[in-house]
Amino acid sequence: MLTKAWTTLLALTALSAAAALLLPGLGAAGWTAPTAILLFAWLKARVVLSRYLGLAAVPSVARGFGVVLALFMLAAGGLTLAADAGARPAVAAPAQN
Amino acid sequence: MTTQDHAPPRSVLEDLPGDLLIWVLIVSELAVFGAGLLAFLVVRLGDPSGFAAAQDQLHRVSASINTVVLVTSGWLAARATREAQAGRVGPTRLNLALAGLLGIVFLVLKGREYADAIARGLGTPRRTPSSPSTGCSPASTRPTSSPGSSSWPWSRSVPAPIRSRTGRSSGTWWTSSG
Repeated sequence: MLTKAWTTLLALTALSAAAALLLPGLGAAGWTAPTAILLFAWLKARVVLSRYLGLAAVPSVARGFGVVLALFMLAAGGLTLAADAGARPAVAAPAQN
Repeated sequence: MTTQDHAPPRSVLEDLPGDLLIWVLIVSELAVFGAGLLAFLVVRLGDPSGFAAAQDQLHRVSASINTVVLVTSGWLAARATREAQAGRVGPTRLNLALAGLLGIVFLVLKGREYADAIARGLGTPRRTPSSPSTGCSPASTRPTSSPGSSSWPWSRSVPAPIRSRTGRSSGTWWTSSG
């Protein structure tokens, strides 16, 4: 079980690295890479908590951590998307004659 | 009536795997790093393009390697815990030693990364007596208006030799945290 968790974490780390290195070069929208990295980080945190730290054996505590983690990720994701929306150039208003 | 009828309800804290103190440490770290990450994202709201350019100065591949080192070190530590619970002293020590060794590897990699960043002039700008204490460049160095001035302060806070060596400007205060 531990080794499976470890390989899962390695795979998620590789996906995060790929998102950070490749997505900007592929012309993807600015929010895609940080959002993808946040999602992978969320999954990694869940694996670490449940498997490495053994919270899978204590579902009530695991749920508590899961809720707090979800709230944190929502806040982080919201801030990421808000920054990207603010960075987009404003569409020029049509000329008024 | 049995003695179990009078037993107090079992606390969730008693169900936690491992010592309670380690969970206090874990929650403390989560709170500190979580607050730090949110602070970074709030700062990013003010200057997304400057923040993205600052990130380009960091070592993304090195960060991934360090993550692999930490994930593997954690795996070995978790294995050591299981071995200790099973009473196997030798494997416990071996796993702990390897986990510690990877901790040293992490420090070495981080040291090299920081040394390279410092050599390229990344970090907090030098402060002069007249400069503000906000970590930004002195007011006299701020561009009033120029193309790309949104990336201030970093485009103007790096000495010329460093700029010519790296081929691009660098040096925002937030890059110092690596």
